[in-house]
Amino acid sequence: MKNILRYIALVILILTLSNCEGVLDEKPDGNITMDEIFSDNNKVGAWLNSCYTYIPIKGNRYYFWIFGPAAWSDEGWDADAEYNPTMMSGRLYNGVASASDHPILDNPLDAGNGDYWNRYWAGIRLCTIFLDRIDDATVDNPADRKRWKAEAHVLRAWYYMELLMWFGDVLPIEREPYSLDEDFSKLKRASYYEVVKFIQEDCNAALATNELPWRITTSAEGYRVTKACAATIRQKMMLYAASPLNNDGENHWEEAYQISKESLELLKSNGYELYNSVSYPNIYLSDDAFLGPDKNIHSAILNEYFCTTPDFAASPRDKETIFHTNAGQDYIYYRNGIGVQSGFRTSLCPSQELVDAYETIDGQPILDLSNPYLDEQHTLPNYNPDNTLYDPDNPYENRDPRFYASIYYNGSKRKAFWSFDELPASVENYPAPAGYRTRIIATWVGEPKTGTENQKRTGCRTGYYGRKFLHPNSGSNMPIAGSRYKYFRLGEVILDFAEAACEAGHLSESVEAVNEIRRRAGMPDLPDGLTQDELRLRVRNERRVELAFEEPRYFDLRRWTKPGDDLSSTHKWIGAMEITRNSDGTYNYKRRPVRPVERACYTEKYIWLPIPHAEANRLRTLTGEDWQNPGW
Amino acid sequence: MNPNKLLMQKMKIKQVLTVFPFMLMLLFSHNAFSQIKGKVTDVNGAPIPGVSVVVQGTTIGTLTDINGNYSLTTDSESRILTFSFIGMKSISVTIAGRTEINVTLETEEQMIDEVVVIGYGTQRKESVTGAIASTSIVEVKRSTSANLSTAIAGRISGLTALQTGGRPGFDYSTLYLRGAATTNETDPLILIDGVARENMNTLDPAEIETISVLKDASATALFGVQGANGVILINTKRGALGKMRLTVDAKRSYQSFTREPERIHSLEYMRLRNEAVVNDGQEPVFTEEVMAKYANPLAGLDPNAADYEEQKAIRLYMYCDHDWYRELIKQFVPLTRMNINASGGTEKLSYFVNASFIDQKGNLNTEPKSYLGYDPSVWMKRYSLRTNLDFKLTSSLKSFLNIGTYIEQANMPSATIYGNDDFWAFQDYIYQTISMTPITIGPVTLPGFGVEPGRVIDSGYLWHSPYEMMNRTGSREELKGNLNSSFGLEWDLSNSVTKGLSVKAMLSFDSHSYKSWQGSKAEILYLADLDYENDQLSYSIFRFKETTLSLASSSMSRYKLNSQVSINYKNTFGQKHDLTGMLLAQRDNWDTYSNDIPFNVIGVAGRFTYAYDQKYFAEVNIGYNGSEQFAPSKRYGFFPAVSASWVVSKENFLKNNSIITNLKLRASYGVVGNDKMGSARFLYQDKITVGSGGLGSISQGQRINLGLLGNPNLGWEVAKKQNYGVDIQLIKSINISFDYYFEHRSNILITRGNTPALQGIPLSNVPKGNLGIVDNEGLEIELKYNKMLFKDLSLSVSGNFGYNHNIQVYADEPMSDETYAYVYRKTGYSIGQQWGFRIDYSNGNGYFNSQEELDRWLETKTCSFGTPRVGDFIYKDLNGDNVIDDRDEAPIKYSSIPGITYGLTLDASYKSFDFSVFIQGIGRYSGYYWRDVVTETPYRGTYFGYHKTAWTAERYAKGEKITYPALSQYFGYNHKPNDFFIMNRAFTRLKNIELGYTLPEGALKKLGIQNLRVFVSGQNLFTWDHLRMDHLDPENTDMVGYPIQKTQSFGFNVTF
Repeated sequence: MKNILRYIALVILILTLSNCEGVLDEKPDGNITMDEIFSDNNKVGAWLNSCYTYIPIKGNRYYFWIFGPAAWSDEGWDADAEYNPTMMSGRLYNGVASASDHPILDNPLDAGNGDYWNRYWAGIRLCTIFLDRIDDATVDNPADRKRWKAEAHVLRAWYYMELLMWFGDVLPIEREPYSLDEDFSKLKRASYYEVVKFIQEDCNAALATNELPWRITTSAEGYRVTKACAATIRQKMMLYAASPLNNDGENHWEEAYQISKESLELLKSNGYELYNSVSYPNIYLSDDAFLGPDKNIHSAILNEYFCTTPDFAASPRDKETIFHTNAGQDYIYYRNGIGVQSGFRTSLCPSQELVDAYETIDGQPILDLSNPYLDEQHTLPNYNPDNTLYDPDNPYENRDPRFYASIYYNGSKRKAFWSFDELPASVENYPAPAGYRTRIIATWVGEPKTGTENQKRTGCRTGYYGRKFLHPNSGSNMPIAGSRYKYFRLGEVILDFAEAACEAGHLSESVEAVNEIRRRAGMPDLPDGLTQDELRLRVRNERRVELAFEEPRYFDLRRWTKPGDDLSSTHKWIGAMEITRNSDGTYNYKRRPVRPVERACYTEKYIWLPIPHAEANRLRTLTGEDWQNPGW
Repeated sequence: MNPNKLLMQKMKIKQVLTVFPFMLMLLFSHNAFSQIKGKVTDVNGAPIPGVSVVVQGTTIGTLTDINGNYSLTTDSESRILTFSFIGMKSISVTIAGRTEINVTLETEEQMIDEVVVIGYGTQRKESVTGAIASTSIVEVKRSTSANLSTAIAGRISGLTALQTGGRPGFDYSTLYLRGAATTNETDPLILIDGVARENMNTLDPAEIETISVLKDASATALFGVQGANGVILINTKRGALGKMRLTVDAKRSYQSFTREPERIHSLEYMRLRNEAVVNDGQEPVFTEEVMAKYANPLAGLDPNAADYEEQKAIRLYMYCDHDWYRELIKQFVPLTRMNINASGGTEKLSYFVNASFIDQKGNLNTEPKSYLGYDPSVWMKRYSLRTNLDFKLTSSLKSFLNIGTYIEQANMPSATIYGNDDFWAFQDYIYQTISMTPITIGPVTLPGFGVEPGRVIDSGYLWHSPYEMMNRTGSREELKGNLNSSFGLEWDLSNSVTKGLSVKAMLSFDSHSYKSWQGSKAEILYLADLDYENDQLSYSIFRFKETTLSLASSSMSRYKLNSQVSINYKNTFGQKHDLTGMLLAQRDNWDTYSNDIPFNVIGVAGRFTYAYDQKYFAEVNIGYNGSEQFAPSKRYGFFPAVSASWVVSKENFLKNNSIITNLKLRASYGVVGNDKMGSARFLYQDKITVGSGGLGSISQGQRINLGLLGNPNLGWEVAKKQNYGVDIQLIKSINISFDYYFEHRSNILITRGNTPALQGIPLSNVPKGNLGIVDNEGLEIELKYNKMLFKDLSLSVSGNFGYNHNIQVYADEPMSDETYAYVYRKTGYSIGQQWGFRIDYSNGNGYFNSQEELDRWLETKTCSFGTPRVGDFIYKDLNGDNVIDDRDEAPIKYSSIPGITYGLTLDASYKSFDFSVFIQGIGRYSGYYWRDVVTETPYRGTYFGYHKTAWTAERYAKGEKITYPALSQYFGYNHKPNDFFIMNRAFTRLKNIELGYTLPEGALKKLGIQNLRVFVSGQNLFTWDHLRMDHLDPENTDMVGYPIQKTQSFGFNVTF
C-alpha cells in the first residue's frame, strides 16, 4: 500500500516537471512571414487583395447610414442632427469637433468612412510594399504581374487622392515603404502640386500598362480598378491642384485643361458615354413613378441611373459609370427616404439653396448666381431678372427635369407602401388606409405626416425630401435596396473638363462640355456669349445640380475658396421653405433658416480635416515643424 | 471492460461520496470509561456556551451548554481535554484522574497565534514579514451580495472593490489592489485553494475559510511574472476533528435600486421641454391648449353619456401621464439564499460538505408567462455544492480531495436584437425606460381603433420600445456550470528522511461550461398618432416584420489543469533557530471560451525563512517562471524578494510593558513581474495570416491579414516594491497596523508614442515597447479593538483605511505644442486622470447670467465647439488665446481609479442580542457623466430632478438655487467634460447593518438544535455622496447599466 502511494506521488511529480520543454511555445497557428508571401503566386495576389480593402463605400454609408458630405455641405440638412446630436451631423452642426475628437474622423468606422488618416496611410503602405517587391515576387503568369502592378499604382494614387481631398497638402510622398526604424525626423510635407504630380506618375504608369483593361467586362472580375479609374483620378486631382485654395498662387489651369481633355478623350474613345435611355420604362416611365409633374423621360433616365446598379459587360447597359463600390446602400426608403413612409427616419432633407439652384426649364437660373441671397441667412432671394418662368407662389413648376428626379417637394406624389391610415388633418390624402397607394407629399407646416417640423426623426426639416437614389415605388412591401455608389462617372469627368477649360480660357470647349450634360438632362444649351466669369458661375451651378448629393459639392465648395476664406456664405445658414396651407387649398411659401441657431461648421478650420491630434504632436515632435491644418 | 460494470462502479463511488458524511455520524459511538464534567467561564466568570471540548486523540467531544457546563465520558484517564472557542485562546488540560475540570478561557486579544494564509502555505501571524491582510469570513457572510468580490468591498485594507452594476449574476466588482501601477491590466491574481481560478465571484461565503490578500513583493514574489498586481488567496473550509457540526442558514431579502429617477409628470415634462426649446431660440413645442388637454384630459366629455367610461379611458390613454420607470421596473424583488453545511472528522478522515442555493429575481417588470407563452422575466438561480475531504492514508501520508461545483441558471428577455450581447441589452432596457417621455402613448393598443388590442406600440423616437424589448421579443436562458476539483497527497518524511521534511503534490482539474437557449420573435409594431385638434387617436404601422418564436442555442466549454509539487522543510535548532524552506514547481494549462490556443504557465517558487528567538525574522521568497508572451530567450525570469521583521516588544526594554503590549517592525523589498497585457498573445511573433474576403478574381479571394508585428525583445513589466510596516498593540486590546509602500513599475508595455501613423502600419499593430514607467505609493492603516465592556456587553471595532497615488512617469507621449495649457495628458498625471474644461466661477455661479455678460465675453472670446447662450457655463480660457477649445482642457478632480478606500465595522453583543454596523467608502474618485442618463438632450428630452431647477432668467432673478445650466435640446457646449459633468464620485455607504437574536437554548433542545439565531439586516441602505444628480449611484461603474441594489433581509442560522 505504502509503496503504491509513493509511486503515485512520484508519477505526479514526474508529470509536473517533465515535458516542460516547449510548453510555452506558440502552437502552429498559420502565421507566415513576408518572404513566404512574396514567394507564392497566390499570396502575392492575396496581398494585392489586401491593397483593395481601403476603398470606402461612400454614398449613404457614412455612420449611421447617412449621405455624409451632402449633409455637411450646403446640399441638405440631416434630420438626425436633432434626433441624436451626438452623431456625426449633429456634432458638426454644433461645432463639437477638435483635432483629438472629430466627428468625421473619429466616428465608428463604417464601410471605410472615417479614420481617414490612419486608413489611407495603411493602404498606401501596402501598395508601396507591393510595388517594391512585385518585380522579384513569384507570379506564375507574366500578364498578372503587369496588371497587378498597374492596379497597385492606381490604388496608391486613389488613396493619395482621398488624403489630399480631406486633409490637403500635409502629406509626404512615399516612394519606398517606410521601415519602423526610419529616421522620421526627415519627413517632409510635399506641396499640393507635388503630391498631384506623384498621383499622376502612378496613374500614367497604369495607363501605360497594356494588361490593365479600360473596362471590367465580366462580373467575376468586378470591382477591380481599370485604366479608366487612372484617367479619372489624374485629371480630377489636377483640377483640384489648380483650384484657388490649392494652387499656391500658381496658374495650373492650362495643365489641368490638357490632362482633363486627354483623359476625357481616352475615356470616350474606350467606350464610356453618358447614360442616355430608360432601360426599365415599366418602372421609371410608368404612371406610378411620378417622375416630373408630367412624365418626363429625362427625369426618368436620371432617376433610373441612380437607382440601378451598374453592370459588367463588354457593352454594358450603363456605359457612364467608371467605378462603383463593392457594397450597396441598403434600403434607402427606410433609412434615407420619406421618414414617415416606414416610420424609421428621414435622414437628409435637401436644402432650399439646392432647390433654388435648379434652373427653370428654359435654362434660366432662378437667382443671380453671383449673389443669390440678399441677407446672411438666405431668406431674401436675389432673383435673376431674366427669369420669367419662376413663380415664387408656385415654385416647383417648370423646373429642370433633374429637380423632379432628385427631390420630393410639396405637392409631389409617391406611390409606395404607406404604413399608416391617413388622419383628417392630412387634407390632401385623407381618407386612405395603410397600404400600397399614391400619396401626395405635402410638406406644409402642420401636415401631420410629411409636414415640415424640427423634432421628429421621421420629419422633414426643410420642406423637401431626397429622391435621387430612391426607387420610385420601394417600400416595406417592395424592399428594393439602393444602388451602389458611383465613385467615378463620366458625367463628373465632363464637368471637370468643363471647369478646367473655362478657367484655362477655352470657353467654347467648356460650354460644349456643359451642354453635353444639359442635353442629357433635357435642358437647353447655355446661351452664347458668356464671359469667363459668367461661364464659371454656370459651370459651378451645373456641377451643383448634376452632381447633387454625390459628394463633389463638399469638396468643390472648399477648393473654390481662397486661402484664408471660410465657408460662411454656404455652410453657416441652411434654408428651409416654410409652407403654410391656406383654407382654400393654396399655399404660402416663406424662406427661413432650418434652425434659428447658425451651423458651426463654416469656419476656416472646417475646410480641412485636422490631422489627428496625437499624430500632429508626433510629427511636430519628430520634425520640429507644425503639420496641423489651420485652426485645429 | 463491461461498460455496465464501469457505470456501476462509478455510481458506487458517487453513492459513497454522497452518503459519506452521514456514515461518519455512526462512528461516534464509544465505550465509556471515565465521566468528566465541568464549567467553562470567561475571565469575568461568565459562562461561555458552545465551547468545544474534545478528548485529544479520540473522536469524543461535546459542546458546553448555555450555562457553560459540559460533561463527557472518555476511555482513559490519561487523556488530554482541549477547550476551544472562536475568539478565545484554546486550552488543553490533562485529565489526570479528575472528574471535574473547570476552565477559564481568555479572549484571544493578542492574536499571536493567529495563522495567516500566505502563498502556498500558512504562517503564524507573528512571523509574517510582508504586507498581508485578511478578512473575517463572518463579516463577509453578512453581505447579501450574490457575488463575493462585492461582498468583500471595504473589508480588506488596500483592496478597492467597485461594483459594476446590480444585475443578478453580474453584480461583481472590479478589484484594485493598492490602486493601479500600470496602464495595462491591473487585475490581481486570484487563487482558490492554491490554484489560479476565475470563479471567485460565485463562491459561496459559507464555503470559505479565509480570504487573504498579498500586497508586497515579499508575499507575491513566489508568483513571479504574475505577481505584480498583488494576489488574493481564497481557501475553502475543511473538516476538523470532532463531532459533526451541521448548520443551516437561510435568508430572504428584498432588493431595490439604491437610486431611482424622480418621476416627471406630463405637465412638468412639457414645461421643461418648452423651456429647452425656448432657450434654443425656438417657439415652444407644446402650446397652452395642448398642455391644457393634459392638465384636464376629460374636458368636454359628458359624464352622463352612455359611453362615458369608455371615452374616459380613451382620453386618459391619449393624454397620458406615464410613470414609465415604475411601470417597467419593479421596486422590490426577492432574493433567497439557503445554505446547509456539515463538518467534522475522525483521526482518519475529516470532511466539510456544503450545499447552497441562491434565487435572485431581477427588477424588470415583465408580463407573466401565462400571457406571453414564454417567460422573459429576469432571475438567476445558483446551486453550489462543495465537498472537501482529508483522508489519512498512513501515519505519514495524507491525502485530500476538494470538489466544488455550481450550476447557475439565468433567465432574461431575448437579446437577439442586441447581437446576443445581454450586457448591452440590459443597458438598453434601463436607458430606454429612463428616456421615455411621460406623454408617450402605450405600451399597447386599445380596442376599437382598427387594430387588434394588445399590440405593441413603438414610441416612435426611441431606438426601441423598452416594453417591446422586455416582453415581446422572446426569452433567453443561460446556464453556467463549473467544476473545481483538486486531489493531493502530503507525505511526511520526518521519519524516513529527516525531521520536518515533507513533500506535497496536487493535481487540479477545472471545467467550465456555458450554454444559452434563446427563443426570438418579432411582432408588428404600431405608432399611436394623436390629433390634438380633434382629440383623435389613430394607429399606424411602424414595422411590419412579424416572426414566430424560433429557438437557437449555443454552448461552450473550457478547462483548466494545474499540477503542483512542493518540498517543505521546517525545523527548530537549538531551541532558538527556526528554519523553514519550501520549493514548489507548478504548471498551469487552460483554455478560454474564445477560439484560442490553450494558455500555459510554468514555474518554480521558493521560500526560506529564518527566525531567531521568535524575535528576529528574515525571509527570502523567489519566483522563477515563464510566460508565453515572450521570445524563448526572454521567456523566463527570476523574481526575488527579501523581508525582515523585528518584534521589538520582546526586547527587554519593552517586555511586560502594560501599554505597548506588542510592537513589530516589518520591511520588505522585491521584484515582481506582470505579463498581463491585454488580449494580445505571443507578442514576440508577427501576426500575418491568409484570410478570405478579397476580390474573387485575384487568388481566389484570399487576402493577407496583417496583425500585430512581433518584437522579440519584449519582456514583462518589472515592479520593484518596497513595504514598511509597523504592528502595534496597545493595552492588549487595540491593534494597529500601519504600512507604507512604494512601487516603481517599469518596462510597462505600451504603444510607442512617437511612431507616426503615416508610416502606414496601424499603430495598434506597431510592436509595443517596454517603455512605460509608473510610480505608485500609498499607505494603509488597520485598526482593531476588542473589549468585553461589561458582563453581558462586548464590543469590537475594526477599521481600515487605504490611500493610494500613482504617477505616470513616462508614457512615450508626444508633447502638445505650447498653445496647449497642458502639454501632456498622461505624463505626470495619475492613470485615469479626468480632463475637461474649467468653469469660471468668478461671477458667483459660473453661468452667463445675462445677455450683457454674454456679449461682453463674446466681444473677445469664441468657442470652437459652439456659441454659448445665456445660462450656459462660462469656460476659462486657460491658454489665453481667446478661443475655448481643447487647448484649454485641464486636469479636473481625480482619477477614475479610486485613491482612498475605507471601511469601519462596529460589532456589539448584549446578552442574546448581537448588532453590527459596517460603513464603507471610496474617495479621490471622479468620473465624467456624459451619457444620456444625465443630460437633458436625448430623444425628445429626458429630465431628471436637477433639471427642474436649471438656469432660467427668472430663477436667477429670484435668487433661487440653480442646479443645472440652461436646458437645451442639443448636446454640445454645456455637456463637454467640465467641472460640472466631471463629478466627484466619492461616497460613504452604510454597507451593512444587522441585528441578531440568539434564542435561549433550552426551548429547542428537543429538536436537536443547539443554536438558533434570527436576524434582520439591511445592505446599502444609505449612501452619502457628492453627485450633482440624485438618481444615480456613485459606485455604479457602468453609469448607464443596471443599478446597484439595496437590500432588506431577514433570516436565521441554525446549528445542530
